[in-house]
Order: sequence, then C-alpha cells, then structure tokens
Amino acid sequence: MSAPHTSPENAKGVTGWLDSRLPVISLMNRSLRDFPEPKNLSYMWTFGSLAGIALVIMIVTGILLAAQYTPHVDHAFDSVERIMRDVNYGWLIRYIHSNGASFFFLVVYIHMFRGLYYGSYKKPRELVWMLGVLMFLLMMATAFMGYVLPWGQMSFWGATVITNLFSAVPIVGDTIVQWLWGGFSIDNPTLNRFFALHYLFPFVIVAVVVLHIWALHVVGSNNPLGIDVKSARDQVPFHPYFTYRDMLGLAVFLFFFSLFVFYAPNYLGHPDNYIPADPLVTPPHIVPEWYFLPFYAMLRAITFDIGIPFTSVVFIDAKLGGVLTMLGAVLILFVLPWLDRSPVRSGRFRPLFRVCFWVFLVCCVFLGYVGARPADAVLLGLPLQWFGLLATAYYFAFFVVLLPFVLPRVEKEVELPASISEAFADGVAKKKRGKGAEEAKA
Amino acid sequence: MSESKEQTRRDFLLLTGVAMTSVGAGIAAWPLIDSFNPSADVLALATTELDLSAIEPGQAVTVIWRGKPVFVRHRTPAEIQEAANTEMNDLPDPQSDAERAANPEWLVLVGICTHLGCIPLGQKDGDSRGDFNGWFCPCHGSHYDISGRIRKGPAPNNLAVPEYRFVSDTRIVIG
Amino acid sequence: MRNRFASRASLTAPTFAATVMVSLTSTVTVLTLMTKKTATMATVLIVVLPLRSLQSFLIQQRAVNAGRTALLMVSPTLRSFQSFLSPQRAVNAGQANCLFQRLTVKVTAMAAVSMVVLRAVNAARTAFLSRKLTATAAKIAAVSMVVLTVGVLLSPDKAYAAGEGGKKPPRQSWSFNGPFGVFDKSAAQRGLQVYREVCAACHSLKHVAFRNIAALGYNPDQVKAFAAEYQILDGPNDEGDSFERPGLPSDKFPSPFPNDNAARAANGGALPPDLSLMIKARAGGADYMHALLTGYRDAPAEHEVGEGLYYNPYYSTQQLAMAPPLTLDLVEYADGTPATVEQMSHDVVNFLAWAAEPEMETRKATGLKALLFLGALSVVLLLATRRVWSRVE
Repeated sequence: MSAPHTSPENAKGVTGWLDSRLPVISLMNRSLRDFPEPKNLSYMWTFGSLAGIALVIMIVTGILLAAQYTPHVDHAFDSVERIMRDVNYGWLIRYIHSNGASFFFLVVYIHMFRGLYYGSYKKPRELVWMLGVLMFLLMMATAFMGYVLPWGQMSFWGATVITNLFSAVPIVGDTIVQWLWGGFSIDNPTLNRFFALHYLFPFVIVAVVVLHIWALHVVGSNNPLGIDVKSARDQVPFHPYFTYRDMLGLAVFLFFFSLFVFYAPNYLGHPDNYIPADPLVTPPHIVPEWYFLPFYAMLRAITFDIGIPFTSVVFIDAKLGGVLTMLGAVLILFVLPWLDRSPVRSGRFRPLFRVCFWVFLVCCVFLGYVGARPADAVLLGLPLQWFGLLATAYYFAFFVVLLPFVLPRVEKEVELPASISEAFADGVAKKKRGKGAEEAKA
Repeated sequence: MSESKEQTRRDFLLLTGVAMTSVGAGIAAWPLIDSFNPSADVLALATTELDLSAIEPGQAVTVIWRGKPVFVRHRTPAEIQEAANTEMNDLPDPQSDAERAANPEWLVLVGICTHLGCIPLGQKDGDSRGDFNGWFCPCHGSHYDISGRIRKGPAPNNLAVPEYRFVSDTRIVIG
Repeated sequence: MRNRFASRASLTAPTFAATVMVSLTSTVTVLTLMTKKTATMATVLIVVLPLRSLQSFLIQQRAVNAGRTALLMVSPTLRSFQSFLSPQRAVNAGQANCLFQRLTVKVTAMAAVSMVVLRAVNAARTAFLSRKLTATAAKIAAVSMVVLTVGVLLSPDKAYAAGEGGKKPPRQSWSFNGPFGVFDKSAAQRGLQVYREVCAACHSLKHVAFRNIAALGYNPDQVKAFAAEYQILDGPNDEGDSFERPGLPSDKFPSPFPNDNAARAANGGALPPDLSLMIKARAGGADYMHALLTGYRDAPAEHEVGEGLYYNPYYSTQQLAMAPPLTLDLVEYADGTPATVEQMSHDVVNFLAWAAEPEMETRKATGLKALLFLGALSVVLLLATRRVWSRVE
C-alpha cells in the first residue's frame, strides 16, 4: 500500500521495532483506530462488523466441529450425535454453528438491504458492493455444503435437488452433475468433497472480506444522508466512537442469538434432518433453510417454457428457466451499480424509490413464505405459485425497469442537505430542543 | 470540579464495558477449549474391570486398557520369591518388588516396552521370556524380569505399573 | 402443464442454437445496458418472452380452472357468513371455510396487537423518548408489523398444512417445556421400563449408552447392574469368533435386529425407526408422540384401512404398520403407579424426550446465565456508547 507510516508514538520499543519493519501496527491504527467515519452513521451501519464477527464465530466453531466429525456416509450422522452427546460442550458448539449460519445470513441480509436503501453501491463504492455480492455467493455455497454434512434426510435430499439444478444446463448438464457427485448419485465421494470445500470456502470469504474492507477504506463509508464527506468536521475517528458502538451491537446480537442457541436450537432447522439419510425414501416436501427460501421460490415460480409466442419453438424450458431466474436474482446484484442511474444515493431523498424499496423488501419476504410452502399450496383460492411469479417479476422489474428507466424519469428528489456536520448539528439541536420542551411541559 | 467528575464517570463506564467484554470472551472460550478434552464416551472406557478368579498361578492374560495392552500375571510362590530376592545393585532402574505389586500374587503391567514402544513377548506359553524369566522385547532385545523390571538391553525403565485397585479379592479395576 | 419429458426431448440442435443465441444476446444486453438502444431492446425482450406463458395459459384451458378458483374464493366467505348465523352447521361446514375463519381470527388478533403497539409507541414518545428515537421505533414497528402481518396471516400451522394429513396433536404441559423446564425423572425412569419391556422389542435406541441413564437418577451400581442384564455381541476373540458378554455401562443399548433388512423382514416390510432422536425428528415432538401412542381407534366408516395397517388420525397418512403398542397393565411399575395407556405413553415420552436431548437441562441453565450476562453487558455498553457520543456536536 503506502510507504511505512511511522508516527513518533509507535516508533519506540518492541512495537516500534516491529512497525518499522512490518507496519502492521500502523495499519491497525489507521484502519481500526484513526480511520475517519462520517459522524452521522446510524445503527444500521453496525451490521458490517457484526457479519465479520459472525464469520469468525463460524470459523472457530467449525474448526472445532471438524475435529470431531467423520465425513463418511456410514459415520457422519453418528459422529454428529457423538458431538451432541459425548463431546464436552459439543451440543453448544454445534448449536452455535447451525444457528450461527442463520444469524450470519440474517445479519448479511440486513447489511445488504441497508446498502440498497442508502445507495451504498453507487459510485465510488461499486467494487465494495460487488465484492460483497461475491461473498454472498460464496456464503450460499458454503452454507449449502455445510447443511449436507450431518447427513440427515434433509441434507441428502436438499443436496440431491440442488445439485440436480445443474442438469438443466443444455447438453453438458448431466455430465456436470456427475462431476459434482463423483458418481451416479449423492454418495460418499460427494460428502467428502463437500466437507473439504465447506472447510475451504470460509477462508476464501475471509480473503474477500479483506478486499471488501480495503476497498471500503479507500473510498470511505457511505452514510444515511448519502452525501460526500466535505470536511474533517463531518467525521469522527473509528475509535472510540465506533468501537463502542460495534461492541454494543455485538452484545445485543449475541443476546438474540443466545435465545435461539439455548432455548430454541432446532426452531430454524427441520425435524427430518434428525432422521439419517435414506436414499430410498424422499421426505414429503423438501425445504431448504430459510435463508434460501426466496431463491427457492423463484426457482419454482417458473413453470412455463420460454420461446416464440404462438409457436412451438422453445428457447428455454421451464427447468432451465427456473435455474436461470434463481441464478440471475443473485447475479443481477453485480450490475446494480450501473442499473441505478439516480445520482442521489440515500433513499431518504428519493420519495418514489423509497416506496419501490419497501415493496421490494415485502416481495422478498413474501417469496420466502412462498418457498416454504408446498408446490401445490393455495392462497386465497389461487395457486400460490402465481403470487410467487408476481413477486419474482417485481424482483427483477425493480432492478431492470424501475431503477434504470422509470425512476430517473418520474422521480423528483428532495433537496440534499449542505453537509453532514450541518445536518448532524441540526439533529442534536432538535433533540435538545425536544428535551427542553418536555422539561418545560413537566 | 464537575468536569473531572464527569471524566471519572465516563472512564468508569468505558472501562467496565471493556472489562466485561473481555471477561465474557474469556468465559466463552472455555467450552471451545474443553471440547478437545477427552469426551464422555472416551472417559467411559478409561477403566477396565477384570475378573481374576479364572487365572491360575503361573498364567498371564492381556487386557486392553485405554487402547494399550495390560499384562496381568498370577505369579507362583517361586516367582514371588525370585522377584523379592533380586539385588537392587543389579537393576538399571532400581525398584523393589513390593513397590511394584501391592498384592505379590498379582503383577499388573502396561505391556509396552519402555525403549521404543514394542509389545514384549512372554504372555503366552512358548513365548520367549528372556534371560530373566519375565518378558522379552523382540524389537531390540530388552529383557525384563518377573517383576517387569528392565535387566538387560536398551530399554531405560521398568515396565510401567498402571493405576489399579482391588474391588474384591478376585476383581481389579484398572484406571 | 407441459410434460417435462416432452420439453426435454424437444431440446434438439436448432433449439439449442436458439438458446445459445438468446443467452448471448442477453449477456450483450446486460453488458451494454448503459446505451439507450440496447436498453430498449432488453425491455422488449423482457416483455415479449413471458407472453409465451400467457399463451400457454390461454391455450391449455387454464381459464376454465381460473373461473372455478374465482368461485372458490367467494364460497368460503358465504359459508363463513352462514356459520356465523348457525354455529351448529359451522362444524359440519368442513375444511373449506376453515381457512377463512383462521384468517378472520388472525386479522382480528393482528389488529388488536397493532393497536397496542401503536399506543405504546405513542405513549413512549410523549413520555421520554427523543423524537429521532421515536421515529426509529415507529419505523421498526412499522416494518415488523408488515413482516409479522405477512408472516402471521399467511403462516400455515407448521407441518400440519395441506399435504401432511395427520391431525394436529393437542398440546400437553410437559415438565421439560419452557425456559426453566426440567425432566420429570421418575416419569422418565418408568418410561425406561416401558421402553425396555415394550418398545425395545422392535425399536433400537442406538445413540444412548447405559452410562447415560445415570442422568435419570440411577447410582453407578444400579447402572452397572442394569447394563449387565443385557447381552452384548463383542469380538472377535483370539479365535476370531464373535461372542456375547454381559453389558457394561460404556455400551450402547443393543438393537433388537442385527441390521435394517432383518428389521424390515420381521416387521412386514416396515422399518421400525430408531427412537434415540424420535422427539426431535417429528414435527410436534413430544405432543405428537403422546398423541400417536394414545390415538389408536377404530377407523371411521368412510376410511379404508390397508392390509396389516392400523388407523391412527395423528399419523401423517392416518394408518401405520405399528400395532397399538400399549394396553392396560402391560407393565408393572415398581412404584405402584397404575399402568394405564395414558400413563405409560406419558412416561415413555418423558424418557424419549430425555433420550433425544440429554443436554437440555444444562443448555437451558447455561442459557439463563448467558442471557443475564449479555443483558447486563448490553446496558453497560449502551451507557458507555452514549457517554462517548455525548461530546460529538
């Protein structure tokens, strides 16, 4: 990066010796202590560091579990039960890991929706956003392979369904699926490679996290107003302001996390995964973990072939269509920085965008619900799939129609504040006035 | 005055926050570390119970204890005599027989040569029992006497005596 | 819907070429989306392609179905109104209006909750919260209301939704329920007896070891004696043969059959599942198990029960291969408890609940400590953070 940074305070002693040779201490100081952040960041900005901590929790508990787990179809289920029953605190470590996956996704989803609302993906933070989407993809792969490892019924059949998605690829589909399986069905070679990759991917994520933070620290954090930092008065150093705030965020996060780990550890799981995998019996309905449900709903929403209307020419059959839709739902996030053409970042000053955003959020939650229900479920007398298709359509329309074409034409943005510090001072003053008024009332 | 008070209160709060977080992290680390300790199923196999009533004088049995072979020998009066009368000066690792066998009739040993971990011969009829009528390690030629003490060869120490106790006249629990 | 096999078969070379072309075009479109012309092209593509589905919808007589569904939408409303007028008939009205009634109940409940929450927010605002905080709270409330409403309104009764035909088991009050729940050890001890004398004839308990039952209140000698009553297959011995020996505390409960195929063969093709995790492996858990064990009855006249199967409304298909396992006085309890079917079921469910989650008591106790600590830590850190931020102007 830049030339060795030597300030008088850390030039002496052991730290000085170390720092003049390998400036890790200056690096830490620059990025975790002195790094200037906009002073108006809200609590929504805690979720980034929370996601980082969640990743660490997952890696630590994961390594300990790997030390006790046996990746073999004959022993995987039993070795997990041994962890639960015989290993000291094995139940705790495993429940932290299994619920941790859910909470990791929860935190990341909030982090992503925050970025979406406040336009954190816009120039100059496109790369920060894209690296984030890459991490999200890696997380999905990691979580999917991790869910296979306990070798319960849902593990086995979830893996069967998801790997079969690749068979939708024209011509080479079946070859790819065999390559993924290392055989002709999900079996021991599959379990072994999923274990190996499940162990590897988190460290790849760590590498991308480093790039994500690096890229962020080059351009600086966005903020709720979405306007650029204009002077030092707009900023405060990371420590102590955000170190304390992030610690608080962590404590509150762990509180809710503990509720699940200690009191409802299997609430987010599925009872079928406590039945050992049986290649001859399929569970009545196969449901992925909740964090995949919206995408699963999109996969199932496409029940029609795509081709030239009123002829029998089919370009994309329903199966491939579903897979492409699901994949597209994530991949489209990569190009989001170029789809949204409004120069205004924060949704606070974009009244119409705000409405579209909340509808988008509701659509995502609703898609999650659709994904959880059986394929033939009925809502208000109509097939649920239709509603799912509608929500899927909105999901994509939000990105490819509303953001690039509709909003730039019809939206009148609200005037932006002059600077962060001014708006912040206004807020503080208002708060004080409010308090004064209340005291006067009393 | 009020400013310094303010300052103290602030420092107190901040320090408490940091201290509590560190303590919490420390406590949370324990389950993670403890998970590497022997687990309940391993500990359940940490003791081996053995019925001695079927072992005739002069006979020996081998049992598995914590994944290792344990030699249990019912010694004859002659063997007891021989073990007790050994001159301490002859021993590379001096130890009296009384120290090694609480009940002289029964000798309990970890059957692993103290040289490089081979299993000595001498348990079965027809095994070579070495120059001292005890055990003989075929790997590098260590000779042990009838008390399991090293007498000749490269092994540095006597065969180890595991922790064991008599729960009745005919039953022992090893471990 | 189009036959899946047919559509796969139609994937011939020209179709594939067309597919490649479409994907290429769309890639190019996305890459050059910034220019206006291609953007318009993309829009056209996006609008035109789904037309195909509309067409298939029209052609394949779905319109007829749509008409029927529209009718169906109205009818529950009518029936529910009818049920309001005559409650007796409502019982007979069947499942059709069930959905509507559930919706009504849920809407009313949600409305009540929303009112309470909004009132609370309002009160809090006038009382002590700053305006910014109120705004945040209002926002959070609004979002959670939306999410909750969507969730609650649409939530099926988990796992008892259409497709899994079992009747919903009634809720029982188990001693192990709730955040302070503990196992009823004497019930679990009796349950162990029921397992051993009844269930164990067919069902294994292979994740539980004899040493584990110490947790039910047995002392080490009792555990040892209990284990020794079992014969465990061990080996090979010095001659290379398997042999049987009395059980040790470190052994696991032996399975009644040497392998799954033997178990199937002995049970008319149905595999009696392992019971170690049964309570965790079924939706409804302990409630379901108790309902199932006590739920056998004569099949209603219109219900046809298959050969060798028994009617039980709580089972997913309402008929299962397991014969009613419990009958009055099947076991003789040492503590003199009358061995009714209800009692034995209650006891064995207690035992199985422990077998499935032996760590439950420790888990909940540890959780309480963790929550108390994290609660206190949150308060301290909240105060500290406020302190730190108070000097920012």
